[in-house]
Amino acid sequence: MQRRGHEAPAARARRVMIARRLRLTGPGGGALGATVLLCLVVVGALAPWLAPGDPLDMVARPLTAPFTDPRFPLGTDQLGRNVLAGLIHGARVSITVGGAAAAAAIGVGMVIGTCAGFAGGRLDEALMRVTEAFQTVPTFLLALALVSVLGASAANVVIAIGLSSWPPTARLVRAEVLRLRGADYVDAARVAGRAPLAIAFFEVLPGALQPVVALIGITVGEAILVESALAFLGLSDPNLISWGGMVANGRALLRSAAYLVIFPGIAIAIAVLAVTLAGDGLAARLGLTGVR
Amino acid sequence: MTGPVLSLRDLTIRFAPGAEAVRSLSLELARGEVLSLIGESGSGKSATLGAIAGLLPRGAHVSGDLRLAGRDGNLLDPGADRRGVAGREIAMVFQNPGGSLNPVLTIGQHLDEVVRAHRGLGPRAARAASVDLLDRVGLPDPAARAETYPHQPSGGQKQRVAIACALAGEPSILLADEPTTALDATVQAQILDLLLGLVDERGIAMIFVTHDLAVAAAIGDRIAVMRGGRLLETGPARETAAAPRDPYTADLVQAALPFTRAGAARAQVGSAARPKRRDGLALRDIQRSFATRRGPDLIALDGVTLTVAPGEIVGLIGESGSGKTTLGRIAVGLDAPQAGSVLLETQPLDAAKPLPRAQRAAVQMVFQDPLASFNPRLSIARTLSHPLRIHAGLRGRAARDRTFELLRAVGLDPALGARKPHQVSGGQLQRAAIARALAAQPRILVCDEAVASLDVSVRAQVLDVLDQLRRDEGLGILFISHDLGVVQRIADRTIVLWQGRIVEEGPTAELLRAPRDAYTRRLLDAVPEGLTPWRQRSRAAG
Repeated sequence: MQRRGHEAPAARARRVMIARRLRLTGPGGGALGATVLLCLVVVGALAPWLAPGDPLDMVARPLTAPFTDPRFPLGTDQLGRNVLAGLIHGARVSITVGGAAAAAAIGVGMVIGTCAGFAGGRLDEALMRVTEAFQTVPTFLLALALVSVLGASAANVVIAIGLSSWPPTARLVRAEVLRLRGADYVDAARVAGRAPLAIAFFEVLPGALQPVVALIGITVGEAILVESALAFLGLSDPNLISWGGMVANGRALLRSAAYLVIFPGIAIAIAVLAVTLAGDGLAARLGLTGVR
Repeated sequence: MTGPVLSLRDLTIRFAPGAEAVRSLSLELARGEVLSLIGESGSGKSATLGAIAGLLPRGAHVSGDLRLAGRDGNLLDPGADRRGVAGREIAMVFQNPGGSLNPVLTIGQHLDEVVRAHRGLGPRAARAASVDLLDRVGLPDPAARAETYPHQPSGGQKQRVAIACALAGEPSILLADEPTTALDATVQAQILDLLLGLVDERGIAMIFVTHDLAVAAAIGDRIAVMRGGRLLETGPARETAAAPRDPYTADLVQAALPFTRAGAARAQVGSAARPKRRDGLALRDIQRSFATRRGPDLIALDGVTLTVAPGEIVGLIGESGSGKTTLGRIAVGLDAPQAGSVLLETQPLDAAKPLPRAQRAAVQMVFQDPLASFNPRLSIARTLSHPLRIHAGLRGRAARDRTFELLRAVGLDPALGARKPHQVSGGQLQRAAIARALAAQPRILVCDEAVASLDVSVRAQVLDVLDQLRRDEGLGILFISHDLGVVQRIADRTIVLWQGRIVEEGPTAELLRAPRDAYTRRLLDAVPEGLTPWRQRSRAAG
């Protein structure tokens, strides 16, 4: 084959490996983010054992200050609810709702992007106009409107966030599919008689997925933020404790008991940061820096 | 003649510990001499040029002794003073002329830069010198050309510009890395003429790297053959090509398939007697044009009619842009003509509509680049399983058995089916591509430059497979190629396409021996014939 390079494959592989290692462990972002994220997932999963009972139950004197009672290290709120238990159970809600919403967004984006890119022509035009219509409305406003129409439940929050944050994925996938659509192996699959849908989803889409990885971190992070914001506005399942809801609950006492806002606020910040760092690290590992 | 202008001793290049790309290579270059460096991909020829020019990547470990006439010291020493070597003493011309030119600078700015750096001229004098250089490399209207950007001229003209850039520093040595590989035959001929003219006129010594033995023999005074990082043989071009001493060189000569007007194709023996059947593939009055962003539509095919009978190999030759690839795509139904019809066994096919699978299966395709035509994520057997399921209705064990059978039929070890495309060689993969095409049990096979991206030694194997399929299975083959030598070996009939029209058509031997059309003659004149030096031909012609 006439594939020429001045560099031997072995040398190149080694350089790429070193570069990757540097990128991952130099700033340390990816590994750190992944570790923190893993901790949050474990905490969320083990919530019923780490903090038994309903976190919404009144368990102690209201407004116990943090670091005073060893049974309630982060104190209690105005209704005597354990703040630490709230954070632990809240991790569960934030991560499942954020993850599910991001998965929905990426799933919808992949299907729409693949169809638009592969079909081309009028279908492409139509789908892209719809995508742009969604993009012109700010994500949060759209999610807010959807939840107020659908009603406040965990499932509806997932649907609302999913429906409002798919456009970036759709556009990215479409661009990748457009690039791959003209590849010889796609023509070869056509000549081999594969159906267009099979070609689009089994031959082309897997090749377009790599850059999507770079979007996962941002999409999940944003979904967690939107979920918290919705909860803050009281538009989430009232029977589930969530970090955003805790912030909302504490804001009336901001001057007398600021820790009620600070602790869940820190939790949100840490979760979003961890997800974003982990996503970036993953993208860097796959050699995708600069994709965004 | 005074001593060599360049002498290289014991050059060894390592990109990774223990993996030597080039092993103790020595060569000399005399003033005004052309040395053709030939070898297959991975033989180390480009790395050798890189070491001489000082262009190897930083990680490469280079040892040896490189000396230039009139310069002290070994240039390969780590601390060697290389200032003034690149450009002024050694200049380089690359394979892809577009890639070596910066798209945001005009052609004149490229040259001005080099001229000013090497000759210390002011802006106006530099531009005059640049225009003079463009004139010398045969670019029409050089003053106006200097104002244009590199994407505007054609590939051949870009290569002329790159050569002008190389000459700007008045080098005594020119390193040319496959400078004509990406060019059409007629353009290649012009560039070879230009390079040889410069060598003769200015006494420049040149190392010309190529994988094409015919070109190597045509341009070189001497030929050096490389394989696996070693220099196998060096000798006068003529003798080396005619009577190679090394067995590998002999294989290379055997496999080179150079074009010769007089030589009758091996494939044609016996094929003339085959009864002409009419139930193959027929394309009638095919019309295809493409819309361009501005200006009139680009007419790719203008009323093309051709037939491919079962058991017949039809060669389709033409330069890039002649419409041959579009024609192949229409034949398999990947593209639809605006007018005209495609008939298979006298049944019309409509490329614009989904076809009954049995018909679609009947015309299959082998693409130019095997690596691009396989999905990189699927194993070869997996890719083969699709047409087997769709066209032959085979699944599971039956499909696996048939896959093995197909791989064996194209001379591959069935165990290769488990590998991913990048884990096998180009030649093996191209044979797997033929197996994939056969899985649909076609009656017609369209091969679009199917051997163009393969090394010469592998080319012959793939051609043998095709020839055997036509003989044993009665497969009709439309063989699209720009390589006359290959078409001559394999095609019974040859069709010459030029600017979307068929200009000539006939039995291959006859057509190549006595072309009637002016364009065909021009095309044939441009190809190095046999393994003879180009200069003799130029002299005879001029």
